Amino acid sequence: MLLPFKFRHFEDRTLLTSEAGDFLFSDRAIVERILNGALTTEERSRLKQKRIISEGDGDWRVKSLAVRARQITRFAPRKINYLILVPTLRCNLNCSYCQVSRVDEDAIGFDWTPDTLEKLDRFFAEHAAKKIKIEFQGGEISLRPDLIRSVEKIAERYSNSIEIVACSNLFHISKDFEDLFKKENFFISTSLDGNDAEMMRNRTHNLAAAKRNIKNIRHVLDTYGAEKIAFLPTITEDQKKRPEELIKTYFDIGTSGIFLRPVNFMGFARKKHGEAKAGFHEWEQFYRRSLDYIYELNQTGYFEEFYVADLIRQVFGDESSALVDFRSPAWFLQNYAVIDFDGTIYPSDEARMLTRTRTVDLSVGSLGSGLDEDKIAALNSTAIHQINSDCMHCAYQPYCGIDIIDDLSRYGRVDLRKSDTWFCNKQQFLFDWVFEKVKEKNTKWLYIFSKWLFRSNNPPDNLEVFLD
Amino acid sequence: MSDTVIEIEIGNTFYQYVDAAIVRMMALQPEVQLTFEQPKVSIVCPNDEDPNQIRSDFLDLLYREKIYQDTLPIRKTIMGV
Repeated sequence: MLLPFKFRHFEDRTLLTSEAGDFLFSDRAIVERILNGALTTEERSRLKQKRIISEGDGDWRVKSLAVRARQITRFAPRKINYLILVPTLRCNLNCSYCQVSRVDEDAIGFDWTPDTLEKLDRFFAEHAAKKIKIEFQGGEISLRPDLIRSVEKIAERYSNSIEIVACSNLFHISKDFEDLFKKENFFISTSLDGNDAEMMRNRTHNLAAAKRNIKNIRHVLDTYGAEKIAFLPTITEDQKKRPEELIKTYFDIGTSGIFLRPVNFMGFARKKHGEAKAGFHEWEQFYRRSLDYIYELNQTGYFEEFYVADLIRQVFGDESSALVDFRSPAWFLQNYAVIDFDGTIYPSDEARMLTRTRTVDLSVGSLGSGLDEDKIAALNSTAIHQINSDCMHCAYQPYCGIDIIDDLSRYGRVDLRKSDTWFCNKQQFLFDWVFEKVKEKNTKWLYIFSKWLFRSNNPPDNLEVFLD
Repeated sequence: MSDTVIEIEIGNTFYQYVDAAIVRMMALQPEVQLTFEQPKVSIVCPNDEDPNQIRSDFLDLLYREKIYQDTLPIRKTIMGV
């Protein structure tokens, strides 16, 4: 009996994947032999093992697929365990790619008020999970460390495990803000775009300020350790021409990896970085070159590209990615929410940007009026690739996700052929890149994959998990 | 510039999937024209297209359609719908 499976050709070989993500490579005629009932005994046995064929409805393979499918698609009760808050829109920098509408540092009326905090308390009472991660974005949250403390007090009433991440530019570190760094559950996420010249170009617009910014970053690293702070670059078109420089900055500063995210075509970034609309090919060249350099760095130490490492942990490990890029269904407001400076609630930060730039209103309620369940349901109806006419035939569907917000931001609609979208091209390129290494049994790269899978510079030598 | 005509003989166990595969092929590659008259699918495509690639593309779509339709009941069982 045939089970749902997908296939993709790699020159002389064909990759087969099961509904559960089991995979194997075979010769190009394998699909024809499966469908014409012309398999050898050995092939039948191997395909059964990979859950591509089975003995019948009662077979354990069918049951195991059903269990997995229900785990993925079940609609669990809403429990927000990742909450992004924007308590102020004010910022002390004016970065060229700023993704959100920000206002000047001394602007009035762009901060949360005591009334907002009262309403936030009700939101927590209704929706907060016991274990919650709260990420403060902005604006620049270091301008209002008092609001971090107020929010934590509210969270403590409803959650017993709270992790706080402050996304700060670290341009200015006040004593009040730095006092928070000493807390065990408090972490910093900051932007690092390269050396001081790069920081000047993208962020501070003068060299002295850039040097001060980097000095502050080093201060946090030296005083509180690498585990206290995470870095995120925003890669402009100009930087794509020399990725080694940026990656080396990260390696030298002692981080274990880098997230090579492009400037997204949304928010204020759209006005200043229109070139981000350009085709996918350029990004692919940049990414290949970056991975080649990361390969070199891994000969002497541990260094990962976060996105592809996450993909590897998703495909070859048991981990479920937190990224929407690898999740389907990607139900909105299920465990993730964003609350803006004015109390408006969004399903994601990208949705907030699209709304603020008046591209499309993706707000799903507010702290005052509650959640707009009809709108959430409408969004959810498109956020599942298992029933998409393109994705359902794709060999990478068991591992991939769906990002309708990205489609909306680039094309203004969600019903395009997926293979025409930037998201799908990016995903296919990365999956192809990974599975090429598997097909070739490229042990040098597979060993690096193993390092990323085990998050260790000395992973087990056995690479069996990558072999079919 | 004249067009190229490709003919692919289809086994009778695949007939029921041909129409769906043709529709999908026309959506994905609107520059080609397809007709089905048992037992052959005829594909008219511009001269600059690689006939072997077109043939392979169509057969892949046909196979995918068969996999989809034949496994739909089991997919429903798996998904619990």
